[in-house]
Amino acid sequence: MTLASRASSLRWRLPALILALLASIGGAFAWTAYREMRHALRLAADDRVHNAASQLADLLAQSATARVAETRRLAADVAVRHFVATGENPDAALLALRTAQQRSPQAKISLRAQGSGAATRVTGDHVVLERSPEPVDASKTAPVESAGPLQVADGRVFYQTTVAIARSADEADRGSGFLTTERSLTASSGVGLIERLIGSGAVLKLGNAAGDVWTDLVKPVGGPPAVPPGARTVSFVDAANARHLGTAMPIAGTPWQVWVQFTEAPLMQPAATLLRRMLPWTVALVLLGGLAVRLVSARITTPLQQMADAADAMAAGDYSRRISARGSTEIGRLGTAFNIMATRVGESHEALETRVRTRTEELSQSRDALAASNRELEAFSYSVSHDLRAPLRGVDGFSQALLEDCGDRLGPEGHDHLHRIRGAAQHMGRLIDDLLKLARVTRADLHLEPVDLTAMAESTLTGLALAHQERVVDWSVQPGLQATGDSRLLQIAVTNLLENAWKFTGNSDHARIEFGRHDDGGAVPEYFVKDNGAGFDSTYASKLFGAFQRLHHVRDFPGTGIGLATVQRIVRRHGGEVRADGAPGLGATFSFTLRTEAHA
Amino acid sequence: MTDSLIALVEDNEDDEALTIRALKKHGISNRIVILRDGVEALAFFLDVKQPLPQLVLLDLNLPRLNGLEVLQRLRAEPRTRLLPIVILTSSNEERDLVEGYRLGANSYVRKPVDFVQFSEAVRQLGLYWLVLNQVPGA
Repeated sequence: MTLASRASSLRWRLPALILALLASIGGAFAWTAYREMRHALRLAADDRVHNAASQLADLLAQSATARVAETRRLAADVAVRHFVATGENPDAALLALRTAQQRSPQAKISLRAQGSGAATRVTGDHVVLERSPEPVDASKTAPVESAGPLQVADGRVFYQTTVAIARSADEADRGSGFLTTERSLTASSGVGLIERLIGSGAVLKLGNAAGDVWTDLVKPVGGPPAVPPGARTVSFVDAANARHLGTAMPIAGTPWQVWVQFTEAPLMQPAATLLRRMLPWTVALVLLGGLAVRLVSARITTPLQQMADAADAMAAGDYSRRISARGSTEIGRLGTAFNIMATRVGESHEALETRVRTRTEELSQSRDALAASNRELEAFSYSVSHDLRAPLRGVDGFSQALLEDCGDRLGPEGHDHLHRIRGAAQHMGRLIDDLLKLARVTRADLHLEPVDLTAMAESTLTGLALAHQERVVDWSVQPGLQATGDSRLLQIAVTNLLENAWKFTGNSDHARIEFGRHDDGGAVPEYFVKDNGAGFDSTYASKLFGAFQRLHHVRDFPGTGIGLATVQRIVRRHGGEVRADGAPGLGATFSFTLRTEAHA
Repeated sequence: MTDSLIALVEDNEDDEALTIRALKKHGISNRIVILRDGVEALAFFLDVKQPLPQLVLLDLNLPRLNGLEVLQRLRAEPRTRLLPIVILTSSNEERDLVEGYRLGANSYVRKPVDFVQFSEAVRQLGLYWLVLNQVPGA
């Protein structure tokens, strides 16, 4: 078995096909699981980011509210209000501010008031206290009862909370003012807390809702990518080519928002791990499946292979091969059926061979018998030819001698008797000759070759005309008659027919003989010899072709009655038929076909 | 002409008589030696003490050695290689004709049943082979 036929055999193609199927199923399964896992992880990560952002936003909102409340409490301080309203006792107000400042060391607290009286300005560490008749700069003291927007100055991010300290309607002569607390967000001590809250690897940013200022609570930073509308998070790639997942969340009660982002890789890690763990199992499963299929396939294809080999062996004549497959499976039944079939075929082949041998022997025996009988016939013919004629020659010769030597002593009757003896002897001689010809026609081998019937008929008729110059016969031969046959035998047949025509037109006034081919368009050409001679009674037409059958008296037309029998044998040996048409006094037409040319 | 010898190899006495009659009738008066079978014929032709005939008329169907065998032996001998031999037989079998000529017969004549025709054939044979035909060393 060559490699190519091995590759194309069922034994290898079936496992390969199933292996490929298993591999694709395993691969698709692993990939789908990986994708589903990633999707689930992504949703979980989204939740985590979102929740972290929400919690932070809540936390920061509470923190901001607490800071605003602190500022309000400070603004409601009696010393502070008294200073704003009257400009008196600035030291008490300053003490209050300082006390507050010391609770938030990084905060800056400023109190600006407008009122009658002398201008006062006291500054302390991160604390400013001033009062003048001039109106307070509105841009610096916008009365915002909540945390203000984030601002940047000197690499520092901060926000202000301003609270108005207003006079009541009946206090028109008293002062009013604003208490502003400025709190820094950079270098904030809250970073550690937040990290503990949302875990390491996360990035937190705080910025204005307007998006103009952002800080990571250490320094000012650039803004994060925008979350697409309708999405909970945004996935993006940073400058270091790492993928992150983040979201922004507004902080209630402030003009701020908080941004939380996580690096994706650790979040998605379980999916990659799953894939990594699944792959070897998938491969192992596929290989195991392939092995199983290979074993099953071998169980199926081994008997098939055996059957194919056994069938080849049977084709080569070896019927002894049997299949090992047994049992009730389809393969087993097929094997059993094959074995039964092989046995039957072997038996019938054996029987056939025996019959062929028997027949061959019989044939050979009958061929031998035929050959023997042919040899006998030949010996008989030879003997007839030689031995039967010699006595006739004696009868004829000595009758003649008697006539010559003792003729004068014989009366006319004696002469007549001797003439009859000679005539009979000579007729017997002709009968013997014609019988020999008939026998030869039967046993001669057929040598097929192209035969020019036109030339054959012409030379025969020319010969007859030459031999019978006393006769005037008008004869014609159709040109171009080509046939296939044994030229020697066909010559005998044509000669017999033409001689017959010549003989039977002997009493016609205008003898006419025609040789040609019927043009009736038949598949097998039919040749004919036509004469206008004595003709015959068509009632007896079937007798014409029997040996020694004559329809005329010998005294009218001499002959042995063997010529047409010879013609019929020759035509039949050529697979053709001969027929005769005629009527007394109207001539005769002998037609014959030669089948040999149809397949020559 | 009278000096030369005609050999007739013929076992049938009737044919012998008719042949001699035909020869005589046509004035062929040569001495005629009759040989009854193939063995006798060979013994005669190969005997150096015997004269060689000017014409041999050889029948084919002979006892002991047949005519074709005689012909073959004669053609194998230098003495009789050129001997004029005419096969005169009843047989007109194609194979006898072919074999006769192949073995070196000078002529092949079939004996007709009709004595008149037979007589004419013998006359023409005698005329041709004894009168017209030339042989070397004659």
